[in-house]
Amino acid sequence: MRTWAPCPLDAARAILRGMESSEGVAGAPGVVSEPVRDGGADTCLFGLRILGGRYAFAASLVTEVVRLGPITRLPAAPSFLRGVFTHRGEVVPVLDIASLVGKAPVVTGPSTRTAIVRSGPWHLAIVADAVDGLVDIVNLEPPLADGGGISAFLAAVGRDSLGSIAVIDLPRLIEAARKRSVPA
Amino acid sequence: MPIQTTKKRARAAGAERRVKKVGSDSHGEAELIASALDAFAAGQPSTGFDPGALRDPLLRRIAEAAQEAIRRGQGRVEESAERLRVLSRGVDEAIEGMVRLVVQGELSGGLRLSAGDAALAPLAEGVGQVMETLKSFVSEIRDASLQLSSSAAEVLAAATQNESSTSQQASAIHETTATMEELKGASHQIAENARMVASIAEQTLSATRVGETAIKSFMSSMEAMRRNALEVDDAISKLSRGVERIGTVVEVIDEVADRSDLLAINAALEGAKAGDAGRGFSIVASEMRRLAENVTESTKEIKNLITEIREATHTAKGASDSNKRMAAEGEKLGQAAMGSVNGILAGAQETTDAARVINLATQQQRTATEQVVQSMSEIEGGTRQAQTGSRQATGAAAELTKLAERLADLVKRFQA
Repeated sequence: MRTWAPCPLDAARAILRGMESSEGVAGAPGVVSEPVRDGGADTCLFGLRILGGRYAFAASLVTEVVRLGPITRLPAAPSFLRGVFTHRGEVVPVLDIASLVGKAPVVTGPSTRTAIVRSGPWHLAIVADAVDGLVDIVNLEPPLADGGGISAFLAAVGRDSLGSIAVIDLPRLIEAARKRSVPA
Repeated sequence: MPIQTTKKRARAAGAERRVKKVGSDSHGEAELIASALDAFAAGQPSTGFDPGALRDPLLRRIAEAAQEAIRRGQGRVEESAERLRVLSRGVDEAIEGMVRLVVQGELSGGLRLSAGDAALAPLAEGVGQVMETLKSFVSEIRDASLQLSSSAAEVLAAATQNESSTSQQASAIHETTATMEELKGASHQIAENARMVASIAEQTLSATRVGETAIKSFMSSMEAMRRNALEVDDAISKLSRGVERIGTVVEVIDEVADRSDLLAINAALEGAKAGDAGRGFSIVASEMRRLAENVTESTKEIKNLITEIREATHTAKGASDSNKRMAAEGEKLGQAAMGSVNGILAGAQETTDAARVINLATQQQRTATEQVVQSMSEIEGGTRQAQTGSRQATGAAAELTKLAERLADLVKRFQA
């Protein structure tokens, strides 16, 4: 039985704050656009399953979790941009993190869930194999050295009741995706 | 002494007395003549009676006539005696020739009498006829003896062959009798075997009837099995439809649970965004999601169960179909077995009847064989008697051959 709490612990909160501040300094201003609000709500983590593992990112970035509707592929778009789909009257691009890091794409279907996120000005949908929702992570630690792939976008690693989980720096990942999708 | 001789002597004595009284008178002279005649009649020689001495002329003339008569009579007597001697000699020669004929068997030469008396001519002629007749008899007897000898040899050969044939026949009859004895034993054995066959056929018949009953029970079971399979098939169809309906309902429940889970996730997010104010909301959302997940887990289990039920139903349907096919095949096999059993029943019944007929026939055969054995025994006895008779006939034929040879030898002694 999975257990999770709506709000993170203090340790996670501190690490994420440090990361958010460093991301802002690293030349991606505006990616972490939402101000840090008191009460620690911005430090809540949202979990999903991709690449055969469990990953999480800041729950404050997630606006809604919905079923992925019919996708309209975009011509000449990179493979990690699976296309666009209409959500509440708005055309939302679909991002496949697995394809972005060079892995096999996520297999989508009628019941595939996607997390609608908003990172700065970007509003997009992230497809995953499964969505865990809010997760309660303890013992957050800095990730290991950058080994390429998804590890280049990790902010921390920790554990919860189901096992280890990696925390993704989603704004940085989205920025990287944006840069890759826009021709130089 | 013969009476004639006595009379002659009495007459001579009377004549002698009359001569002594001649000189007395005529009467005496007559007496004298009478005595001389009596003496002549008695065959005595002349006593010196002289008719000239008689005084009576008549008597003298009578005496002279008597004397002349006597003289002539004596001459005739002498001629007769001489003739008698010739005849006697001729008869003796004829008897001698006959004796020679009989004793020496000499028939080639004729009978020649030295005496030429005509009175012997009939005798010689008769003897010649006898000899000719004997020659003819001897010739015929010789031919007959030769023929007899030949016939006796043939009879001997035939008797010998008959004896040999009789012996062979006796041997064959003995062998036939032995064979018939064996046949009698074989008939007994056949009758016994036929009785055993009949018994076994009866047992087969009983066992086959039991098998027939079992096959009928089997066919009834197959029929019941087929009906049960149909009922099971119907129940499986109903179960399958019910499972499909359950699956549809579960899909709806799963859809609701999934939507509930989705709503709970979003509610939790909204609660988190609300900070402390949304904590309670997040807790409720969390519980909702847990419930939804429970429902999803349950529906997943139900789906798994449905899948298992579908598989089991499919398997049961296959088994039911197989049962139906097997029941149908079982019924066909039962019908085939029933046909075979009926054939076996008919065959066993025919075998029983045939064995009974064989038993009866072999009993009759045994009786007939015993009769044949009895008849052969009688024939064998008769053959033994015939064999004995043949031996006796052979012996008689051999004896007859010897007799024929002896007869031929005897006949050869007569030289015709």
